[in-house]
Amino acid sequence: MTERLQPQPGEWIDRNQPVDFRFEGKPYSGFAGDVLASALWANGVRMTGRSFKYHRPRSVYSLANHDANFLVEDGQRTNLRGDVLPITSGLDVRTVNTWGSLASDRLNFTERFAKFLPVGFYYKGFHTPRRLFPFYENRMRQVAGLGKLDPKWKSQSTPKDYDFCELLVIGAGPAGLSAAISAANQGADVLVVDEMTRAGGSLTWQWAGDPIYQRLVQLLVSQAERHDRIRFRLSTQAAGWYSDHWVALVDQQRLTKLRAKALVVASGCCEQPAVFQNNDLPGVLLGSAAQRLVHQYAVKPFSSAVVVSANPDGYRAALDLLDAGVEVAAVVDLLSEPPGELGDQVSKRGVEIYGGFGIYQAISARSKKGVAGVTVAPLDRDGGLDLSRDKTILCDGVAVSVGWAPMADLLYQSGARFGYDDNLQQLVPTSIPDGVFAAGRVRGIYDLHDQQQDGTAAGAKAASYLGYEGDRAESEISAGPARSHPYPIFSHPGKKNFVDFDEDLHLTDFVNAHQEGYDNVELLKRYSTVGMGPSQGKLSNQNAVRILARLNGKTIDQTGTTTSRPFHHPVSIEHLAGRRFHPLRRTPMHSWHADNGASFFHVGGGWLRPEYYSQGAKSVTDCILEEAQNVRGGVGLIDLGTLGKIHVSGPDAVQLLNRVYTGSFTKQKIGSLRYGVACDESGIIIEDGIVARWSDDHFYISATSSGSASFFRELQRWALLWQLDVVLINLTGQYTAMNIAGPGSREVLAQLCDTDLSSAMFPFSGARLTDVAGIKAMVMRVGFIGELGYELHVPASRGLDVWRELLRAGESYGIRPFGVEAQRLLRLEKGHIIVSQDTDALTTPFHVSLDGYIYRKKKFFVGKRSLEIMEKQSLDRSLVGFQFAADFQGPLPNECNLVIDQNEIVGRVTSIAHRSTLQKPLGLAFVRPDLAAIGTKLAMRTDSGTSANCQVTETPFYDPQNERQAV
Amino acid sequence: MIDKTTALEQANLCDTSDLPTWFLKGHGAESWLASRVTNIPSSIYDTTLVDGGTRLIRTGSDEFLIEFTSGVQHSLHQELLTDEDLPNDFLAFEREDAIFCLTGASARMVLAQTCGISWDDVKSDTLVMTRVAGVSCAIRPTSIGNLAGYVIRVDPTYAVYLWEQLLIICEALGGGVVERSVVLP
Repeated sequence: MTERLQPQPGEWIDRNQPVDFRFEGKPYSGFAGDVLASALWANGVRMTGRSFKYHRPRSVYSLANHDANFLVEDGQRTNLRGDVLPITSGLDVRTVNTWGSLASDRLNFTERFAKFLPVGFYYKGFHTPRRLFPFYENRMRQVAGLGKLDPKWKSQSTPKDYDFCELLVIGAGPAGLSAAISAANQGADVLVVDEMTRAGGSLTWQWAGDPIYQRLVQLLVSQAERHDRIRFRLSTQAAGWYSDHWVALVDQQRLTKLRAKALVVASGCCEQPAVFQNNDLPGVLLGSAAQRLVHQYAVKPFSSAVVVSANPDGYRAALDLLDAGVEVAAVVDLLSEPPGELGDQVSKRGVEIYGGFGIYQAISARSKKGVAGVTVAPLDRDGGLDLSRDKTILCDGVAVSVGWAPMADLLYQSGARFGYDDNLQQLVPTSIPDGVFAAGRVRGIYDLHDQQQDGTAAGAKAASYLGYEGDRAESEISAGPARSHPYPIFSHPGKKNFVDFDEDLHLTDFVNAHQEGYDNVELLKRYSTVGMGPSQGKLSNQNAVRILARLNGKTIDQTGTTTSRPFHHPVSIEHLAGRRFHPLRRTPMHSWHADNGASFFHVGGGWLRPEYYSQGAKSVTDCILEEAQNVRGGVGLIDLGTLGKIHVSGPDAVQLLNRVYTGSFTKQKIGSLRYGVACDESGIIIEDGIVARWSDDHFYISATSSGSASFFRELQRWALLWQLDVVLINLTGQYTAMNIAGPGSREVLAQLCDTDLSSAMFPFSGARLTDVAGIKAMVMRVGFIGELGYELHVPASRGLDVWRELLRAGESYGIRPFGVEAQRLLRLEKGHIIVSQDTDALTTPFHVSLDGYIYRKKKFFVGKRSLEIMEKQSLDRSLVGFQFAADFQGPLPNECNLVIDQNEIVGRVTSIAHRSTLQKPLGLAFVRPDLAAIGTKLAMRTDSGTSANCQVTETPFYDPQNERQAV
Repeated sequence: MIDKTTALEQANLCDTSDLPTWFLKGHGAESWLASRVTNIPSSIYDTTLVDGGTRLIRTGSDEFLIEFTSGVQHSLHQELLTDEDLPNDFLAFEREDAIFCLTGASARMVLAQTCGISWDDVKSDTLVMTRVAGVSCAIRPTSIGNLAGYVIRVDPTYAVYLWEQLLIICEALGGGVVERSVVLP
């Protein structure tokens, strides 16, 4: 069976390319250029979906992606729109929201329980008794929702990109094309975007029956396409407007982040439904949908139709249907007078016109999956139906053309304001921000010639705005007669007169919601969910506002509209994610680590670091402990390339450091290190590090891996604010660093270095510029992990060479690399904190016993005032060391587990090692100050809920006299 | 590796990180340079060519990058290498940045997917500080041999990441890695 018509001028299908596809398990054929909806309609398939709540049969309605009646999935992708999904060879789709199949959906009984499912039913029921709530919740979750996700589906990276233009024209209809040509003629660089596959807009369906307009669309489109300053992007939606004319353009392949300098919004209107009983039956279509079927896809919409109209467009649709061989049984005109010439043309073709009539109901076919006729009645003085004089008209389809709503979301988002025009019975823009222009039907201009003029004027204005000289034609068009009926809404006791098809909301739902007090448009939206379905209110918002206005006895302007938010149509998360850039930093020794068993993990600052080095079948904790023990007993080598490295020099270098850190650097000796603590203005610790002094005005900071970037920015900011004469250079990537540590580290390093490394000549906290393995290096004696150790900083390109040389030189000493976890264990045994591990956003130097690094005699440093105030107050917590007995049995706490005292939270664990080189679990924790005394027993709650008891211990746990690091 | 014809048509990457670049910053850097070469760029982010294809780039009021080409022993380079003679009041060191040349007719499409700059608004051979694939870079649009291209300079710790990201996109556009001889004279 085929409903395919003879070739239509300008049709979008290619009859030379047949395409086979499957729908609901059955094979069908169409042509290249068909969308799923048109191909199925041509094959006589009318039912294409089931409604969300009642599982009522649904069908194609707008054929413009303005409704969500036709959503399908192909096993991997879901919620594909049948109105715009091109058929391709091998396409195999099923509808969403059906249990079993579309034809025999097992949930189609739901409609019988409509009485129990009124608006907001889930607020009123299905939550008591409480014990049944999980049952209700699970059942509802199973039946609600649209589409199924395939958990095995591997999402693709899409090529999200940037683009730029001077003028973005949204809409390639007559107004948009005219605007583009006009602006481009004046010199602007124009990008035209349209969500349809072809340019031409309403010229491709509403006017397509007339040869004059067929030539016009060809002329306009070819003129625009040939213009060297106009680009096109079709099948692309302008999904949302953001600040400074940043517009998201979305097509099948990608999201484009477009920056325009000006916009012309010529996005047209979407036709609106009439509200009557069974207005959702398969076979009830918008008039524009019927015209698209005929002109774009050469498909006969019905055998016999009734056209419901309230404007000339309905009559034009009737004529198109007649030309397509459809028997038009009647035109039911909500207005009493048909529109002049068009009315005459329709009458002359034998169509009865019922002027001043409304539609009471569509009569369901016996199958309940189609239309058998309509019941119409004359309108009374109040706009209601006089059912005493109703008539039944037989037909198998209804084309509805009662009005339009502007597709104005991008205008709203850009800040345009709208007002209701009582002549047009439509919202029109009353003010539009600079750089944004509107043209055509979105502005309420319907006459075709007027649309072109309006577009031309808008394009010229936009070009002038962009600085291009030219004729600034003003649009002197006055809006014509109303194209929209003010209230095409008819009540019916059957309560299947739908206002929102997506949410199965009928007229009485709004009356009930209003009675319950939801009399504000925003409240009504959220309570009823009108406009919150997949079509986002394109076909429901306008009628909902009309209903609310009438219920409140107010005007449309007084009632208002809800806020328009992106996106215009749903956008896949794949498109939003794009290529998903996750910058990763690597040190120069990374490849060596990878080749030598390193297990990497991500650390702050975007780095990949070796967590530990695997050793055959040994467990992770064994590997880590062995690495740490090797450092304590022999010599280890760790890659510190991630550390921040900041050069500070200049006449005001000392001043900068003194102002930024809590300590003083004035008397720091050349060739020495000083530990620095930096706070913010609230006195909170933000960074710590080692500062080496190379000369009177030359320093080098070794900062934390995760904090150095922001700390460097702070240094730059302060230097600018205080107008200090300093040179600041972030050398973090330009240099790399490593630490050789352990009792054997001196002997190993001495093989590669001419500098005297003895304690007398190079004491603890010393710093030297020397050569290591023939490479210029900065060498610093640091004690982070409590052993004799040297931190070496060399140019990044030489880092791997130095690393290899150290390993070669240390081979006979049993040198081994050690990873971050071993380092964290070793420093914990020394009681050394890690900023942002053992400190948080409320930690001052007083909390963590770093107040000894505050040089109070300095006139100023960042945070001084706050610290002075806090010093006078009592502490709320203190960081203490704790340890468990060596023979402790049972679960141990983890980082962030709580310290509990008499059922109150009195602290938390910040760092803990379950195994240490001291053979006992130990760590650091914040506790209430009265619990900080050495020997105090602490109870910690573990992850499993048990309590683990330990004791406050003095730190450092290891080598309390600091003898080992100072040898 | 990509042949020359494909290189012209597609988007291609070439690693030129070994070409030496020096960084000068601090008081006296400009006067030191001016005493040795003419044609110092006057505005920040402007670049100029001096003898032998060496490029000077001004990155601050007293801050410069000097890009040397391979095989050319510019006297400046020699002097910088033996830094004992340099005045102490400014810092000079050899940069360790990774430098990639992105060339070909589709090069701009690669940047369109990774960088939010409108290249039509950027003069050739000026430096643009921006982000590419989420990392801070300095990009100089230029002609590289016969090809329109972009010299991308990035912190070496991001080099592997950025190279991989750019290469994925180049390959998706039909290009790939190209030999230096194809793009550089």
